[in-house]
Amino acid sequence: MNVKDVLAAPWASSTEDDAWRRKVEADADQIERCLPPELEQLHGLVAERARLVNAKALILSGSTARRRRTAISDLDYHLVGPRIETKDLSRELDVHALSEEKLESELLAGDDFVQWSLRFGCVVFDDGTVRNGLRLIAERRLWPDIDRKRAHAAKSLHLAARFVDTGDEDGAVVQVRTALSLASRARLLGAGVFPLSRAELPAQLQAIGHVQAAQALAATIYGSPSLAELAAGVRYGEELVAAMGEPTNVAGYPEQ
Amino acid sequence: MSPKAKAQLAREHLDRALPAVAIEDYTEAVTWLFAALEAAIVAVAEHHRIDTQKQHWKKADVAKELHNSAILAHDFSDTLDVLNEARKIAIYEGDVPDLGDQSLEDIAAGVETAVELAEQAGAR
Repeated sequence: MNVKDVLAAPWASSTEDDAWRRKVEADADQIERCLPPELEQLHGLVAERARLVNAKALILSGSTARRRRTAISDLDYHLVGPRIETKDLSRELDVHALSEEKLESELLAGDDFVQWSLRFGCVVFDDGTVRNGLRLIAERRLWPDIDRKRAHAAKSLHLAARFVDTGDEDGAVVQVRTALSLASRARLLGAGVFPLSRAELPAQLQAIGHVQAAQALAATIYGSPSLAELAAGVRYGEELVAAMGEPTNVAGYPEQ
Repeated sequence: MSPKAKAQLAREHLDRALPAVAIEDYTEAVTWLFAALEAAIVAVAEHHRIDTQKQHWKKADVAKELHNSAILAHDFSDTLDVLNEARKIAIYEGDVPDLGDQSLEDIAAGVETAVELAEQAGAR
């Protein structure tokens, strides 16, 4: 999905209640399909606790919502409302709680994770907050802050390079995967393509011509790359950032 | 390069973290502290032939298991969780992470204890 798809989303119009209802129903079906059996109970507990604290909305996010879980995937949610207790639940759970005001301010500030959840996550329940957020994205033509993403990617690549130098293969794989993911997201955003889940990034990168970076990222997700391969991965990541050109200092919607 | 012992890596990562802790560079500090603690836990687990897996959250489970079976006197699983969450916030969002009621110095002291225990396990 790209920017234009979201602009055309029918729920951007306040009069399209039926379309929104269909979207929520489709999300419920998708949740049933995408949740592995071993996570169904955990999902049920998160939803129950979110309702108990009168949360405004709960979104299943990340690779699970895209049906692209890998061996290293967490189970991610965005919760609009008070924090819920999760210490007694599985450690793979990652619930990002924020207020309705924070949701809006993050969207306006160009945060890509919140926008990702709204665009690609599955609505578990919503009192209208998620719908309003999507309307805001469409009406203001919001796009994540590319320069901020590029700066995070550059810092992370620098850190990853130093990690590779330590000789800690396990640690280096994690850091290079993180840095390459960030660099990929920055590059894709700069090219007007909204990055999908981590497992989908290699294909998206390939589609815009970054084959080596795509392969290097895939190796950190599915394989056990050597330190030399990880060092090469950092270089490909740096090439992704370099391909973006100079910072624009403009957090805005890219021309298509 | 020959693979270094996990306990040695843990010490080296801690040494990289401490200057960042001193100047409150959160991204550097929590990243290296997290790596140091994970390496220390893996070192102790390997010494006791306990399997550690790639997922961060499973390493936290191993840390709890090491404590429950009285191999480690302290339970480092919560610290691993805090550092894992903190490094994600610092790296992905560029924000100062919430460390709960602990300071960076408190966490670094805890990690140093774990590294010392890993070194002792390796020396036995």
